[in-house]
Amino acid sequence: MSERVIRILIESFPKILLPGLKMTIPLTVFAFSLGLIIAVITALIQYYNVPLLSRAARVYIWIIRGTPLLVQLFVVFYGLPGVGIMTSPFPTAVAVFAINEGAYAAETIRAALEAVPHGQLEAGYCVGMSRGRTVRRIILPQAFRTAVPTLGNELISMVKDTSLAANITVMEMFMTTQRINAVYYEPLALYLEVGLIYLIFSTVLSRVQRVAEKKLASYGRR
Amino acid sequence: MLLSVKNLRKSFPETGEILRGIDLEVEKGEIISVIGPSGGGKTTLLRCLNFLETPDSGEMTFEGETYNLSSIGKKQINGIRKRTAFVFQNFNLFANKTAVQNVMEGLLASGMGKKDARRKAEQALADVNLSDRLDYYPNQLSGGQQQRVAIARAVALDPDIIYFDEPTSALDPELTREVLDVIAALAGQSMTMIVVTHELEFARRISTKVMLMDEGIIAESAGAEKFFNSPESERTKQFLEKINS
Ligand SMILES: Nc1ncnc2c1ncn2[C@@H]1O[C@H](COP(=O)(O)OP(=O)(O)OP(=O)(O)O)[C@@H](O)[C@H]1O
Ligand SMILES: [Mg+2]
Repeated sequence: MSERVIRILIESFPKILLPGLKMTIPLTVFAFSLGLIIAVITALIQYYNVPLLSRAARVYIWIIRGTPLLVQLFVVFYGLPGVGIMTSPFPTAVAVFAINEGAYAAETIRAALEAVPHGQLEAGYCVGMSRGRTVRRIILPQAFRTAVPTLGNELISMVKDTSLAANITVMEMFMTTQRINAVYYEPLALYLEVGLIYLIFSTVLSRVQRVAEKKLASYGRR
Repeated sequence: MLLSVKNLRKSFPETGEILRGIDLEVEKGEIISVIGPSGGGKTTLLRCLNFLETPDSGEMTFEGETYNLSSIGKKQINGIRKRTAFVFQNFNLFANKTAVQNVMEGLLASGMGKKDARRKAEQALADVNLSDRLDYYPNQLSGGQQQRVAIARAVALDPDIIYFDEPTSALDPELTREVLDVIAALAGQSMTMIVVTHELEFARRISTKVMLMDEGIIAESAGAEKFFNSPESERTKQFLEKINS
């Protein structure tokens, strides 16, 4: 590696990392939290089998999981202005990633809800709890525990997928790298560098995930 | 009369009519054991009494109020459930709650404050000899301990009647004893209960009345001594013979 490349790599590192901290991470955090809220609501609608809404939830999950994330980003960012709905990059990215994550996590949480033994609900009834109260205090917490490993994987995927937001002009890590590359033209080195930063992010998250899973592993399992 | 049921019927689409006209009367303080061959409908009966299954038809009088079982509403069901408790064969403790929290849940749901609920739950657990296991999760407890927590959870609600569905069937013989002792102690305090059980000696010892349930009907209902010494129905004779041979 030439001295020039090494210098470029060192100089560009903070320039790439900074938008990582200022854009990639907030984008992930906002979108994932919002996505979880959407997912819980969608999963509960299906768990309760709410008429109509339940079908709407199926359609939502079907469409979102059946189309590429990139297409979804383009439809909202480049398509909606055509019908008079103006959007700005960052909020659009948050919304699209949240809606996307919502669909996947909804399936995860629904499956986890259904995996909680029916006897838990019956025990709730028998001590005078309503269904809503039992779901809130007994069923959902257990379902979350089941869902944590899968949700963790989805979070890690999302960190990497945020690079797609570059396509709708969000100045996150990948777009920044592209800009730097346009100046120096060292694609191999620079894209490897940004890849490494993504790797660091996902590795940290994997570690956190593992610790969380161990802590949560099971209610006081011996 | 605390509870009376007339002509209770229940069928399932897959298995047909399981309860074929049950009549039942329970006085306050009575301890009724229900025995009978597997598949006779004992569990289904208890579940219908607490509306975990919806009865098809029949009439229930509970604490002076009469309900038509084919048209009883959610609100009435909740009202009845608040005054009854259920102990399951497989415990069904809340897996995400500790022993003391398991007992507290129902109390909190009834509007009791946290402090009072905690105090009451601790007392209930002390009564089943589990003061040293308050903060254990169900999967850290033995089967016998779990069932004792479940009994404490039921008793803490001050129910007017407790339904036990084979409370010891999921337990090893050594653990059966500790649970039966707890139930016997409740019987000694004149807690009203219906106990489905295969422990005939136990039934004989604690019951004021024993019933044989077979093929969806109550084939015999008599005082414990009479039931075991001079039963009237052929089915009871056959059942006891088979068990004793
Ligand atoms: N949810 C259900 N759907 C269909 N059939 C059912 C259902 N619950 C019970 N049954 C049927 O009802 C019959 C009586 O079952 P039940 O569990 O009440 O018997 P039991 O007397 O409690 O037997 P055991 O002593 O084995 O516990 C069985 O044939 C069973 O298959
Ligand atoms: Mg049974």
